[in-house]
Amino acid sequence: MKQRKSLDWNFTVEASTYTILAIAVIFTSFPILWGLTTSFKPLDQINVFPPTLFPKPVVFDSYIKVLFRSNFKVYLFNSIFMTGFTVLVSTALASHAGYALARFKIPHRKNIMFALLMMGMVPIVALLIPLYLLSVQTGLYNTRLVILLIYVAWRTPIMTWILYGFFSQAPIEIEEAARIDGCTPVATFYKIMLPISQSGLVSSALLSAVFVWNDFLIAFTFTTKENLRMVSVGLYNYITQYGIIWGELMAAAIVSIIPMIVLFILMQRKFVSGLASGAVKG
Amino acid sequence: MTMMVAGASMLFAGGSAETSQESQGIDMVFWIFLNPESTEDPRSIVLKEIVEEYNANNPYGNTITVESIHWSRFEAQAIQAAAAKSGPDIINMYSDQLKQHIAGGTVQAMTKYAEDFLATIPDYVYTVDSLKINGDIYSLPWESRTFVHWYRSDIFNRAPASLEDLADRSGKESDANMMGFVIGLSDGSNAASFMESFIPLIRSAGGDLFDSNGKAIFNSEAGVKVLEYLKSLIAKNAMNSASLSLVVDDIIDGFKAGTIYSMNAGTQRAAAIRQSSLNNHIESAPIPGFVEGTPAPALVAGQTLGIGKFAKDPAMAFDFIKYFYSVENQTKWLKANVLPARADVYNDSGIKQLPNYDELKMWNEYAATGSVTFYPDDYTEMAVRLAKAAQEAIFRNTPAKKALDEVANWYNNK
Repeated sequence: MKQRKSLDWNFTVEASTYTILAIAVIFTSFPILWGLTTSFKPLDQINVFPPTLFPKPVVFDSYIKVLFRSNFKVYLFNSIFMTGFTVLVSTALASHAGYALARFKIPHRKNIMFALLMMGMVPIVALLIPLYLLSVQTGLYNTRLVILLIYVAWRTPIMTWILYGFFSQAPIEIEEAARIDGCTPVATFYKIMLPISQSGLVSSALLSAVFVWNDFLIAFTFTTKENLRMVSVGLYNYITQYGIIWGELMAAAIVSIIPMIVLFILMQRKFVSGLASGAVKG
Repeated sequence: MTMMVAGASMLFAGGSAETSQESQGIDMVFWIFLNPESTEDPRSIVLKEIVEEYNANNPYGNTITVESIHWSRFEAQAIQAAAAKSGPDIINMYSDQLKQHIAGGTVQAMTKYAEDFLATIPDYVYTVDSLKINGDIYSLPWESRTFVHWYRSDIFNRAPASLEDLADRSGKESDANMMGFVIGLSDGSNAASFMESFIPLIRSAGGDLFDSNGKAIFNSEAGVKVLEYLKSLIAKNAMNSASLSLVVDDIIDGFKAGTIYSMNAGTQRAAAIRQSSLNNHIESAPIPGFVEGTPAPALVAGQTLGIGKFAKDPAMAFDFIKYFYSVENQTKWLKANVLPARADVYNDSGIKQLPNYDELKMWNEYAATGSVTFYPDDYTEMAVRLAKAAQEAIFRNTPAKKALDEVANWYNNK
């Protein structure tokens, strides 16, 4: 009887949990669903009362305009390039720095760590004007290089801090065993520590990728050239001075979230294990 | 290896494959809200045509590169560039924001060029004096948008004869889901919706925003009359408290969807408005005034072209500006539903055959009842405060005079 009551209680808890989760999923995914259906609606059906969820008929005009009759594919390429490059360079720099800080006896290590953390706390908007003036004076304004430099400089400190936490928690015995087997400190880092730290590297890299992909401020401020624009700025183009082009805006938004969704699906397992092992807890 | 390095440097520098070639002309940068890469927006297509034709045909060998800057961040971007002693050779500005550009040092005076040029185009709708700010001309309007009353002909059998008529008839058509008429009272989006109606209405009541010395005078009897009228729209159920949160884009979306039966909006939004499934029932008319049969004086604004403060060669920049104002190019703008700044365009046979010619002509005639106004550089801040004052007066029963006095005193004592 007692066991039956316990089973009932467990079932109730489980059912409630799933119900709440289902509501949460519907609640959070509804705007995306609405955007998706709007992107398939004919122009004159986007603003109607009462509103309709499903398009009748389904048209692909908005996607055709976004993908083939605008510069959106250029923006997509730029975003993918900038994000990929930033993640690669930042991860390379941050992993070396994080490991060195975690394992080597570096004077003022705590102060350096504190400084790194503080650098990550400075809002980018506070640096915008000096960076802008600097980029104009150095002739780097309106180049990919300046945007990449800023992104790398922006993301590397916080990634170093995250990876420092991850390397610090890694068992030192593995490194000691490698040393006994004849590994140099450098070889230990590349052959032992990096492979076993994949989940931490992936987690911090993914977080940085999302930051760069979603950034508007830097992408907008440091270029006025059409061929250098990124997706975040390109989306803004659909909010025109004459009105909002809802169909194309929604189609472009859907297209722009696909790379991030694919990235998360591919990296999901490592990302979750990185989160669980404290890689992003510092 | 060399090719790889060259390819990489091209990628980081911006992907430009141009090689440095000897040419006689100069390369100039033109900042504008429109994006010539758009193949959908008729205005952008016209812009691209004009620029390509100039690049191909100008006798100096100049080339224009268009850089599209988002309209909502245009002023900030231009002022920021000017602070770094850079910026475009030719700059497109809203007439409303011109003084902000002058104060921000983004644009230079072009009085001599402009006076000489305007003497050669008598059909230009603006006079030299009307374009001067502190004795100088900084830009020339190339369009003259005006703000009109849009209504549903299946709901209203005619345009309103007066503001009172509008309130009465809209009130009868409103219900829980539908609003007969809306003026957006939100202070968001620079309170644009509110100001686009407030200015014609206060002028219809015999007042104005500023006197000739730039002093705020909207706290006059005329200003009070306008706020009392807006209050009556609520009392008569023409619009409801939802108007508090509505900005101009929301109202246009509501009008297109059919939840708003009439509104005031700029002619530049015609193409967007007419994308509605209700297009066959959409009509436009002059904004009604307080006196029956007499429309409110038109609010006229527009996009203008000026020479950038750090232009490489102001004379060459003005050469492009002159080209922009040719009758041929102005005709192209009108075909894209942009009201031109040259009257001769309306005599073009192609224009006369446009299906919406009568409407274009009506807009043009209505625009002639007003004039372009260059507002002070702190206009936006004042507009937002004015919208908040209207909210106080309409929804919190603050006396209209008191609400307006507070904003006028703040402005005049700055």
